[in-house]
Amino acid sequence: MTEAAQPRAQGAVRLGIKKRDGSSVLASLHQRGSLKLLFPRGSGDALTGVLLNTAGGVTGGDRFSIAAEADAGCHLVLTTQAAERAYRAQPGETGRIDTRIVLGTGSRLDWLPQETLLYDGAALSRRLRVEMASDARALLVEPVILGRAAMGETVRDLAFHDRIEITCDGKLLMSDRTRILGDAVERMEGPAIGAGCGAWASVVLAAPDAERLLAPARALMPVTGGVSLVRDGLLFARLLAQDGFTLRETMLPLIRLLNGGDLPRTWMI
Amino acid sequence: MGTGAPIPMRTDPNALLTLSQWLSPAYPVGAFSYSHGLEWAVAQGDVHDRASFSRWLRDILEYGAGRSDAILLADAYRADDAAETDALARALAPSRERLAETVNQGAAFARATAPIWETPFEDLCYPVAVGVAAKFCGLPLRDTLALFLYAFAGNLSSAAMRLVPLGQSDGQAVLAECAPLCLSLAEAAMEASPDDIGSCVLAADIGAMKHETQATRLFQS
Repeated sequence: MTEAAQPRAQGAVRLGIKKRDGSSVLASLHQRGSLKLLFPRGSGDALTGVLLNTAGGVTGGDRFSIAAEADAGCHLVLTTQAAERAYRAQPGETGRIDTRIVLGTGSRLDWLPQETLLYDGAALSRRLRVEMASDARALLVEPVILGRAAMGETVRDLAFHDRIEITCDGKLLMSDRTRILGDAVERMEGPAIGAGCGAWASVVLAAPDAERLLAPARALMPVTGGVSLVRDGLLFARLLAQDGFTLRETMLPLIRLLNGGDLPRTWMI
Repeated sequence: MGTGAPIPMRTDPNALLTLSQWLSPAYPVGAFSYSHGLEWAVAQGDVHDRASFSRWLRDILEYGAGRSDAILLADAYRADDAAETDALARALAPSRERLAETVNQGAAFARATAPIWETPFEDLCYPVAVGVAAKFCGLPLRDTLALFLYAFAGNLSSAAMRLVPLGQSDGQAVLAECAPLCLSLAEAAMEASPDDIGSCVLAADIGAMKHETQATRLFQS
C-alpha cells in the first residue's frame, strides 16, 4: 500500500509564446516527465501545441501541470494528441491535472483538448484557469465521456472534479465547477442532471464580441444543449449527449462557429 | 460553534421568527417569479408528475444550487468582507437568467431588510445577502441555512404545483420529504468552504439556458 501512495506519473509543460514577424512563435519551452508538447507545422499565424501524455492515461496519484503565457497579440491553440483516459484509481488516490494560461492584451487562446474518458473507479481532479486581459479572447472546450458505452461499461464509482475558471483583468469572470461523486450512471439518470445521457461538454467563449455569436450559437443547439450570454463578453454553452459520437455531432459545428475556422488536425484523425 | 466562529454584532431574541419572516414566500424578494429552469423541464416533459418532480428537486438541492448556495451563505456569514464570496456567487451562475435570479433576489432582500433591521445595504447575490444579514442580526447560522434551503425547495414546489401541474397535497408532500435533506445540507454547509462547491445539474443548467427563448413563459427563469 505504501507504493500505491506514490505518484505514478508526473508531467509538466511550461511554455511562453511571443509575436515575431506577425506570427506567434515559442519564446520558451520546458517539458518534464510524461507530458510532451508537439508542434505540427502549418497552422498559419497561430502557434498550435499538441499535448501528448506518454503515460497513456491518468490514474490516482498522477500529477500533470500545464502552464502557458501568451504575449500581446499572440494566438495559441492547444489540443491533445488523443482522448485522455482516466483509469481506476487506487483507494484514496486522486489524479490531478492543473492548467494555467495567462493571456496578454489582444491575445487569443483556443483550448481544444479531445474528450476525457472517465472509467469506472476513476478519481480525477482537474483545474483550468485562464487569466486574461479584457481585450483578449479565450475559447475553452472540455468534453467528457462516461466509460466506454460501446463496450457496455458503466461507471458506478467515480470521483470527478472539474473546474474552469476565468479571470478578466484580475476579476473573477466565471467559475464552472462540475462535481460527481459516487454512482455516475444513477446520478446521470436524474432529469435535472443528465436525463440519461453519458457525455457532456462545457464550451466557453470569453471575448469582447461574444454577444454577436449568441444567435448563431443558439441556432446550432440540439434539444439537449443550451447556450447563454451569461454576462457581457461571456458566452457559455452546455451540451449533453447520449455518447461521444453524438456529442461530436453537435459540438464540432459549435467549435467551428466560435473559433471562426476549423479544428486542429488531431481531431480529424 | 468552533472557537474561530465570528461573534455576531447583536443577538435577536426573536431569531426564529425573524428568519421565518425573511424566508417566507410573502417576503418581497420576488422568489415566486423564478422557476430555476423547471418551466423548461416541464415543457419538455422531463418533469411530468410527482415522482419526476421529486427527483428533480432533490437533485437541485443536493447536486445543484441548494448545496452551493448553502455553502456561499455560510461563507458570507463567516467572512469579514463578503465581496469575494459575492464575486464567486456571480461567477458560478451558468446562464443569464440564473444570474439575474440570484442578483435580483439579493437586491430585493437587502431593500426589504435594511430599513427594518438596519442591516447593511449592499448589492449582493441572494445567499450572500442572507448570510450577511443573518450574521449582522446575530441569527444562528444552522437555522438560517435550513430555512434558506427549505424556502428554496418550497418556492420550487409552488412553481411545480402551477407548472406540472401538481395537486396541493402532492406538492406539499414532496416538500415535506425534502426536510431531512435540507437539514443535512445545512449541517454539511457549516463545515464546508467555497473550495468544496461543485454541481452536476447539467440538464437543469441547459433548461435555464433554453428558457431564454421559450415561447410561453410564466417565470423569469
